[in-house]
Amino acid sequence: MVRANGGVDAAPVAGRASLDALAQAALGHEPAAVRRFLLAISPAIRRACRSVMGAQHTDLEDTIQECLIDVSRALPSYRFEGTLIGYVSKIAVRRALVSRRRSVARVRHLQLLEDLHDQAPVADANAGEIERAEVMRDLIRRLRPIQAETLVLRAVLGFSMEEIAQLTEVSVNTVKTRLRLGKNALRRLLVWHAGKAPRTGAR
Amino acid sequence: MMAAHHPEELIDRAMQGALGADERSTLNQHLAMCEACAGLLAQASWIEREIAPQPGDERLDQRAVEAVMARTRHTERRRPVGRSVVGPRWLRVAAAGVLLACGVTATAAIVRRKIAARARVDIAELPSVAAPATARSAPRLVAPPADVPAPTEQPAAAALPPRAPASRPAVTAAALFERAGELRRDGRADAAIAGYRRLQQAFPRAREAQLSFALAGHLLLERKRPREALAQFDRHAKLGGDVGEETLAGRADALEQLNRTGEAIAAWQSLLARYPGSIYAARARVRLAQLGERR
Repeated sequence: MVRANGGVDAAPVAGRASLDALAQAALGHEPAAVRRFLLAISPAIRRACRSVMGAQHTDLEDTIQECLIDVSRALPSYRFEGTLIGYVSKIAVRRALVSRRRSVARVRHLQLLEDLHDQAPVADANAGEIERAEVMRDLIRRLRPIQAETLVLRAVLGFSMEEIAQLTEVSVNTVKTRLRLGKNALRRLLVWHAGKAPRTGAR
Repeated sequence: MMAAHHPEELIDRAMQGALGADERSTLNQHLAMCEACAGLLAQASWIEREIAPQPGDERLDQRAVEAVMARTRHTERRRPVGRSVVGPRWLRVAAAGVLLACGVTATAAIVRRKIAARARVDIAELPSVAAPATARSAPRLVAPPADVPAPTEQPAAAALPPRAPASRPAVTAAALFERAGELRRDGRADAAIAGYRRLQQAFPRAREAQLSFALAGHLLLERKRPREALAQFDRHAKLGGDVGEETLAGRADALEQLNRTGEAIAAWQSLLARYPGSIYAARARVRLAQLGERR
């Protein structure tokens, strides 16, 4: 429910047109142009990653780098329709969800969940808020990927239904369905989580 | 009762503070029965603050971009001609670099768990370390970095005082290990590395020391000190450490950073052969494919 304007204002140095121009230039693989483009889209990527992973996640910086790489790889197929920031945000949300799942899988593989819980920033004055936000992120991670992506784009990053439809190349009705199913699933997960022991929720 | 419909338009207007009385009533009714919408709304202001620009963001962005660009330059130097069929080579090399850091957190955590059951010492009360005789003759691998908290000077072997009085808490391998772990978690990588080395010198046979080789190796890799990292991983392997796949992956990364491609390939292959179901297996395959192309 965060209305963040879809992150459109996340790259103040580059308006929509100039961002497109930077992207066009970056397609030439000239290092300076690539750097300018990556710097211009970094704020939007950072926002998307933080929304999915949390500001304190240990893999955040790595994920931001992976997002930059993903965007660079995907750029040649971008059709310069709609907003580039939206396109970038979609890629970043997708990567951040994968990264978050991967980090959880890694932890589980090593049977280290308790250790990482011990590292949660519980000493922070906002510990309650942080914990609740972490629970919400964790539950969103458990949704079907496309539902999680839609929910983050809509409810956290504030993209409109129409924008998400364009970004994900589906109809608005499909977006609405994904959002509804995602929220219904999230609701079930919240109920499930509320019935669990306190330590088993985060991450 | 499951909410079949979520009033997105009302939620939008609520966020904008533009709800009428009737609409507010309708929305409240929905929120009363829909934990998802209520939860997301309740979290809105917090998450918005969290994703808002923060001090240091520019540096974070710059660092991320430069990490990608640096690998571009490195790759171009190494292979000036030819283009990848799956994308620019610098991107693939950058991807590998991004994955590099994955090992430290995982390895650190596994070691913490392994040690968790052991007796602990209040770190704040730790006395200075008096290294046992077996460790005194061990050569110091590397001088501790400047930001390491000054270790208590160790007296010469002949002038060593008697062991600490019984009233003082004993210095144990577990305590040293824990202290180094704290430094690592505080982001003081150099100090943590020095701490692990101190542990290795003081208690070379301890299980904590054995595990510390893997941890220090990953920290050294992060600090772009692959030669020292490799030495740590090799020590760990020789001691038969039981975090094998993390060590093998770290070792392979170190060899890559040292441009010892053939050995890196062998290390990745070894990882795949010994741990085909490892979480590092996918990365090993990617690296093998890219290293194969590079040769």
